Amino acid sequence: MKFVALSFLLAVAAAAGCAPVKPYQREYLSLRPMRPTSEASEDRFRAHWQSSREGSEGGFGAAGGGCGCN
Amino acid sequence: MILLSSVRAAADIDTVTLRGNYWRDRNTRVVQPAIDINKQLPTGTQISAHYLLDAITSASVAAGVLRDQPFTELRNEAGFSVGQAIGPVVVTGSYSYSAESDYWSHFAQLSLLLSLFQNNTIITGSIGYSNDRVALRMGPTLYNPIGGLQTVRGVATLTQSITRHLQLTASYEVGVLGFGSADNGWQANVYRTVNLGGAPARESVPYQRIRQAAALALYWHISVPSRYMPYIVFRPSYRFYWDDWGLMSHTPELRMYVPMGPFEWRVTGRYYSQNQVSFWSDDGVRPAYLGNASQGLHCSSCFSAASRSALWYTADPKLGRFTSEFFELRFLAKLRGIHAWKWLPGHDWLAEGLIELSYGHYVNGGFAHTAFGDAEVAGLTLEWPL
Repeated sequence: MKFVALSFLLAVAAAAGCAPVKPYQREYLSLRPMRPTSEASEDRFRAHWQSSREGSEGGFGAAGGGCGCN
Repeated sequence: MILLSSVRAAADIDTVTLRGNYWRDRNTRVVQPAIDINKQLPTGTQISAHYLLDAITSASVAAGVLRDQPFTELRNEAGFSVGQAIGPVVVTGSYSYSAESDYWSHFAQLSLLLSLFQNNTIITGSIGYSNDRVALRMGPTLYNPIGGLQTVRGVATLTQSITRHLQLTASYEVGVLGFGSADNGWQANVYRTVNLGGAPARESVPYQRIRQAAALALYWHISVPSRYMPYIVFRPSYRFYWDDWGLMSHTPELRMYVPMGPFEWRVTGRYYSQNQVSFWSDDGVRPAYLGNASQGLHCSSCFSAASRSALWYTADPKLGRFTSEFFELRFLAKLRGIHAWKWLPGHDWLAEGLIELSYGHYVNGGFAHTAFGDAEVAGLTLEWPL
């Protein structure tokens, strides 16, 4: 597990140092489905009903606020 | 320019989003209208606000009701955030408040975003604190304060561009829910009872829970040599969750985006599995504490010594072992056609918007199915630029 985590971190660090995508090459990365926050409102609702039906939550950012389950 | 692009990476800015969510299972119907506003000022200041209303039109078993009976409850939530770009860093503070008839919650969060390597690497870190009050509703106007819950959670996220067509997001989250007493660690449902040695008893769970989750998501764009369908995007993700109550879960998910002219289809498939908490007990059909467990069970996996030595009992189906699947189809259309409606005031602005319609089906297995059953999830979203 530690080896996998270390390998992952090294791979990310190596990728970061290469700056592989120039600003003028971000056409595809700027598309709506490629943006991590493009569905934030929808994801917030999904996280809310999932947390009322499942024992785990989180991992993709903090939602916070309220129960809505009582 | 770098500053602007880094801010844009942090959130979808300059939009107003109206969203209607709908949830239906055999016990609960929820209609949730919501509005989100995001705007960036020329100074680099980013402002956002949201409001939502949970209109619960029928009771759920999770509320301690054993039969489907008419029940009306409203939950209001409002929040805002203010961020400021300072070079490659964006500092954001946010606050939200949620209120229902028996639960009130304040949540505040401070976030830092750092953009590096020509926006190829974005690192965010945030820390949040919530302070909740819990009550037992005695009637339309009466309630009895039961306790409170304070939580602290931290989130670290890395978004990394790999190629022009591929990027990944990795995140880790840790949360401490409660600090050892009913006044700051109440996490039980005040209405739910459990079969304790053959008699009903209000459930009792530890006053602290330490949660951790790690997630990885890929964003993969594949060009297609077609003007009508220029690309497909795959978004696979996986989350591993574990906490000191002994619960672990695995959540793989795949979203696929297929644009077709002014439209876009999205297909989502999600699988979820979890084990049970260490103080769980059942009779094979429903949660029950019988025989040697008739006084409850210790939380043998808990971090807190007090939680390990005390006896706990719960009938919460989502703390038992089960699996679930979720399938959803979403249709998105750009509203460009409104350009032709010259008679409509603001038609040029309206034509820059989009509409989304989604329908999903949630499937349960195991104890969660016994209590909840399957569910239908639908959504309608309208979004325009600001």
